[in-house]
Amino acid sequence: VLEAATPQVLMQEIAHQHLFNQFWLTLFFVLPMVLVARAVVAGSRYSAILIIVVFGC
Amino acid sequence: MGYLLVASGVSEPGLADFPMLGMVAQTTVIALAVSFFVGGQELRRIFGRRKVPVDDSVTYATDQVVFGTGRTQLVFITRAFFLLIGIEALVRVVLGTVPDTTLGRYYPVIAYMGLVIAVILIDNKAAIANKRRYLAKGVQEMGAITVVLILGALLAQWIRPLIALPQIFFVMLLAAGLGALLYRWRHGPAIRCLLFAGIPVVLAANFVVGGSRIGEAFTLTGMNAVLAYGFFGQVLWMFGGIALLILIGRTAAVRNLGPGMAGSLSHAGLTGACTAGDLGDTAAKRAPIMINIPFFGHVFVFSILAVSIERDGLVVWPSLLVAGAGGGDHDGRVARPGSGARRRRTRGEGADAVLVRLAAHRRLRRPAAAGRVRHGHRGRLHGHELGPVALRPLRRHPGRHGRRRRGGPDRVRVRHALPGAPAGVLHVRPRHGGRRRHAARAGLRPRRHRRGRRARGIAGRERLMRVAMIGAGGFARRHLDVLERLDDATIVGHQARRRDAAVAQARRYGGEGFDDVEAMLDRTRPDAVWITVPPGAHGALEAACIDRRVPFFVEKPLAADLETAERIAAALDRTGGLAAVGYHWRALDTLDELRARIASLEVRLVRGSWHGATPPPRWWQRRESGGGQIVEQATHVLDLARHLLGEAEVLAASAPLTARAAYPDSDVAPASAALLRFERGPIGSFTATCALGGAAEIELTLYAEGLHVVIDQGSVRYDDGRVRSEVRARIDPVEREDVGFLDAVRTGDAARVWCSYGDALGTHRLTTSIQAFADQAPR
Repeated sequence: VLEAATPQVLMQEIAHQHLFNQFWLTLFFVLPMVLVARAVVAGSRYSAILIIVVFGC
Repeated sequence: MGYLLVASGVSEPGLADFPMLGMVAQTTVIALAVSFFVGGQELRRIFGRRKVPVDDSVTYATDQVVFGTGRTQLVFITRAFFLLIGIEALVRVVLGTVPDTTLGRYYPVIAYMGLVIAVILIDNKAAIANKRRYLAKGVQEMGAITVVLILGALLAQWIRPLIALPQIFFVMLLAAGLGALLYRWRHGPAIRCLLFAGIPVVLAANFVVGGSRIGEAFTLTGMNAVLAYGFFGQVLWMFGGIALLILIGRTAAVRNLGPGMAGSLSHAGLTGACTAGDLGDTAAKRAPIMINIPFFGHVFVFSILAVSIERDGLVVWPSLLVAGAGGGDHDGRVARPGSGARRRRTRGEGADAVLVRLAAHRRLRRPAAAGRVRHGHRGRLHGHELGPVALRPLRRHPGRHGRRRRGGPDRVRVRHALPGAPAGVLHVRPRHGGRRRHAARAGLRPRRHRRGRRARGIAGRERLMRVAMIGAGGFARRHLDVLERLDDATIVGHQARRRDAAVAQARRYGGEGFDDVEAMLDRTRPDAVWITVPPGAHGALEAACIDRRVPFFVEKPLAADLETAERIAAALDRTGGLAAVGYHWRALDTLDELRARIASLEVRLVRGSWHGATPPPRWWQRRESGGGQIVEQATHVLDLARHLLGEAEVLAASAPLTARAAYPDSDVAPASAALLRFERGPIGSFTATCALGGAAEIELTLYAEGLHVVIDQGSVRYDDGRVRSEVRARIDPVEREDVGFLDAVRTGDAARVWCSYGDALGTHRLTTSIQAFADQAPR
């Protein structure tokens, strides 16, 4: 089973995830990005948006 | 991340395998709709001179869940995500524009899940005055945002045969118009979370999708030039624009530059940073205004672009007219290089020019030459800070407010009014005949202002309070820093023994400076006065206020002796005057919980201490002028003990006066101790010393059955032998007591002060009796 898990197969799996998986995947993509960005600039005068730009790309 | 997803083969450029990410990335209009609404509210408040009390219905839980993100903030970020997808899905389902993808089939479910979760996702640790109302507001706001988006899309569709204006154009008009109509609307959870986290969440999704195309972008012919232009153009306009703002607006304060740049460039990132509060509270408040103003300008840009598309070519003359208007001043004349105030007032483009115009329109301070501060008009500001801050010269406290509000204890919102305040009570004391006529003659208040106020009727909440300060020391500044931030107070006068000190203070905070208290009261006619003078200076100042029926807030102690305080209290009783006393420990928010619990505690012992250094002022080192350490300093912990445990009698006290080489002229005992018994039963020991190099123990400790409670100015700590807990102060108590006093003056409800003069007199009797006991004790 593991041998069959090529990137293409994985991609298909992800592409055909049902709604909830899309939901959680998106949440886990976006939220940590915002939180980590806020953590990086915490205590400084920089904005989290600066870091979001870098992480997003 | 977008690039990594593609590079690792998980997805293709554009991330078609993650359609919900693309969905979140397309919700910019939702986040902006909220900014438009709040911008409309702010514009109405400024141009309509509408005063709205600061919203204190919610106090956020600030304990950090993730480093850099507080608990309520995390809830906001999560809720923003659900709200964005919920509203986006609902709008598309209603409009029938659901994309023909696998995810499209789930849009009704996404709408349901997103909205339901967004409704119930409320931070249970945030202090919410009325949770049911707060939840209802969230639902109403979600409904309104949805309706505005749908109407915006329908209007765009309807007008498309005539002109191809986009949905966001109509959303802007509708949301801003709604904001102007509902300018008193206190924000519920939907607006709060989208203002704070809407744009960061949208941008995070956008950048992931954009990042996935980075590799692809570089393979396109000519893309390098586009990217280089995008990058360097951005840099040019960011830094060039900021330089222009600094030059024209004569301000280096980020609270002005941030919203100005966000507005004039419609720069999404900066907009997000501003509305999320990253550039300070003031910038967050102003950002929506500055986003709205250029968007109003988009009326022309959108129209020209739409017509140009129709004609398949740029319509030149309208474009030139719009560009010309952008370079002209508000009178339609093109600004000429020249000199003088007019050039400073009117030069500029876009958002910064609007800032300047607002200031000029509202008769605010004109920009002085850099470093030279013109003064004397600040007292007439009608509560809005926009103008004078925008025009404040560079060398004058750059960024001061921003720094204070981010980190200091006063970061928590100002409590402007206690719940349940009766509305419509305007006058709280008899007025002098012809007071307003006198004020108009003296030029103290613009006639237009008086008419506007009268026209609004007796909306007590909107009334601007004229306040004056007697004293020019550290505590005067402490209160003035609070008062200048309040929207409903304007500082009109200062009195100090030395006129130059009063004038310097007036230059800093606005109003006029005097060395004579009666002249100050008669000339400035304040609604309320703060008295912050050394203990020995009390008596005549209070009498002057009482004679004129002016309510006053006096800093503790009431006087250096008991007789003066008794005399003032008797005069207040005789005249029914209103007075509050600055025993600010009572206003500590940490005590709210303890006050509720104290009746059920069986307190056996109380210990108070004020162990610190000798304050440098010479008046403090003489009892005749300072009262001594018990009367002047330890009075705080004694007052708190009285407040919690009732009256006390002195059983014993000692305060031996020993010679101190460093203070040869001092007659203040370097150490004192007293033994008390409180009416609720506990006995107490109180000690004070000024022999140390700095503050050591300054606290009150209660020893109750099964509970040890330590109270200081920063926290209240509980220990029952098994569990230790700590409640930390989040609200500036000085702000709380100032706002409470102003509220009492405005409404005539004396119960709104944190400490009345009569109550403080009880503490003063206690401290002076300890001093008297110690004076009689064998040395």
